[in-house]
Amino acid sequence: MKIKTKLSKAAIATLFLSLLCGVFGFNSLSASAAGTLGLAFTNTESTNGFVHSLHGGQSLWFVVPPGGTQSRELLISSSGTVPEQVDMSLVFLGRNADGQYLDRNKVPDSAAWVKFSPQKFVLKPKTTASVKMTYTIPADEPISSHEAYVLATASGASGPSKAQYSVPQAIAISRPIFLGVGTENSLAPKIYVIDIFGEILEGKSYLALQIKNSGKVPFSFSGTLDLVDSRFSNRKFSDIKFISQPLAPGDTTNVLIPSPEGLTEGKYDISLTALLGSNEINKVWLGKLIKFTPIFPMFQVLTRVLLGIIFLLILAFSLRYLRRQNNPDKKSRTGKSAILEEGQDQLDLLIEAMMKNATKKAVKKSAVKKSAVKKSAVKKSAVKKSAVKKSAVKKSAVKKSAVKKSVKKSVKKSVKKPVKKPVKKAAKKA
Amino acid sequence: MSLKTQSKKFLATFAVVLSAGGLLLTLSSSTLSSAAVDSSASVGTVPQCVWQLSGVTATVTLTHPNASNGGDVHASYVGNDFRLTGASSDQARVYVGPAGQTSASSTDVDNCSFYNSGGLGVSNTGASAQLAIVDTANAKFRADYSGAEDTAMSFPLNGTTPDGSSKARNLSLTITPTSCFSSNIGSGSGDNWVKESGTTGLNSSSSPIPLATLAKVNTTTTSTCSFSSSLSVYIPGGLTPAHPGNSYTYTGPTLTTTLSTSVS
Repeated sequence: MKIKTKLSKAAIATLFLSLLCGVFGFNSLSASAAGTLGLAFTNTESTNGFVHSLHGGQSLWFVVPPGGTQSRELLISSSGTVPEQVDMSLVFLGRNADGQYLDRNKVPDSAAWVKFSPQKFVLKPKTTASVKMTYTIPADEPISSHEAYVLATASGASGPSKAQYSVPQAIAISRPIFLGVGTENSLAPKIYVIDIFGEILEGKSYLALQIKNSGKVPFSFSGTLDLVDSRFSNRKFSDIKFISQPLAPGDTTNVLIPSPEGLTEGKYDISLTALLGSNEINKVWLGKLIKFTPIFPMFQVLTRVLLGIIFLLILAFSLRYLRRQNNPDKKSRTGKSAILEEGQDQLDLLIEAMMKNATKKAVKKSAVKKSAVKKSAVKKSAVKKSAVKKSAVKKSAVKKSAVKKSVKKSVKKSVKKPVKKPVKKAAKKA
Repeated sequence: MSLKTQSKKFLATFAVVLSAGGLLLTLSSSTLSSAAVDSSASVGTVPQCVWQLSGVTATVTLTHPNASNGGDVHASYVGNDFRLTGASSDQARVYVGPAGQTSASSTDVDNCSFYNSGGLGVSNTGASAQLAIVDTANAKFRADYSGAEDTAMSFPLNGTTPDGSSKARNLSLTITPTSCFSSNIGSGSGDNWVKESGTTGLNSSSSPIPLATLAKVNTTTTSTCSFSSSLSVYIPGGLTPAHPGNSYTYTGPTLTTTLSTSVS
């Protein structure tokens, strides 16, 4: 059976008021009257020297020996328009592949040792409240580390809504904390500075400092770098500051330090200075090659090879031309340019062969041939017996390696043919 | 030697020098440049940047729409699915700024600084906001008559469709991101926020729902994201009140918007 429920007088009054609001252009009387919630959650710097030396004091870190106590001041600010009921609590911090996450259904392992004073309070609009957070560690607690979230939750302080149908809302801001149970010695941070190298990320050059946290507590590593060009000592890049993100124990990371303006690829003497806890860390690299590897290093390599070949060809051509110009006597003595052209052709062919031959051995051999051909072409050009058959060109065709056969053949052919004919002709004419 | 020959010779010599130099540079591992960088300065300081949350309506009031607005011809519950709708009166905002500021600055990039002070949750962190029914065990609309619950009229938000109803027991949440910027300066530029948009059925199983996330690398001193939200729910048909003919109040579960900072 369907039963009809009647609206109460209060509901009718609400409807009437809502209607009035509609007429006068208000969206929702109840919602407007409820106001909005707003929250910010900060803290004052740590007064503990050890914590301060680790993290600059801003983050919520506690290092407490067993049986000891430590407090921090939390600041809760309102940006809302209504009084807020604030509740401080400690909730579970988990980690997965995406990073850290908050889970209200689990209780953090350090929940029993924490106290907030006050834990619940009313925060007036646009005001800030101070909350004292204190960790008291049992004396028999072993050396250990703990993580959790501190959660500040705010809801309307005026109590349940008078509206007939409503959905209350709340806001919460979480801050991760770290608690190290132990002494300064047992929890002293340790770092292993692995390497430094150049890196390009999204088109920007960075010095990548590779470090590993080899201690028991997470920390942020900060310090300065000084670079001096190994060849030009006037090229200095001083006081390059860096700071890492918090590094968990056992983790390795690359701290990306923006490359200072003017820092180019090359060898540098690099010195690193940092303060870790109360210890000063110094590390020096001498003649460290800094290269900024682009996204496609192959492209750079190919460009270099191509440029090298072009410059090599220009150099060879220019040298050949200059040599011809510097030996006019030879030209007049023979009276024929053919012989010189022979040499030039031979040189051309040899360069070509050199370019084709990739192995060092082949290059060496071709160099031997070159000298031999030169001798036979220039010194014994007029005599038929110079017939390159007897010359080192043929002999040099060392038949030790079968692999090199094809290369040898090509060189032999290219040397033989142009040499033989003009030499014979010259001899006949003589 | 003719002038032409001399010119050629000069050109060849120049080419030798140039190509030799080029070859050396190509084979060298470094390039030539010289610069000495050494500087010092003193500056004033600005407030610490913190991620904040504001503009969340303390209570969203629901009403029963008429037939032309997606409701029905009945002004009261008659045992059929009874629709309730409502919207936040303000836009919720997640933003960076000095503590207590009500929104991100649109004029001053130096309104605050993260100071790279290191440590978890402080140094230039990213942030993510999510909406949840925190107390999932009590994720329900509670029906009260004269200050006491009528369990027969209360209903859980568990996503199921009960007998006598054609609607799943969800709190239907429609989220519309309005202005989300990595940097809010001027008219705002660059939106790297990962945002939730559209309608979702919120219940004890689907909670929490991500709202907006900004990675650390995209966080600036003026990052901001605003979104409006509206709610709708059906009081399922087939319920029998213990006090028929009287007026009931319905209170939904507390929706909590949580802001978490992250170092990733």
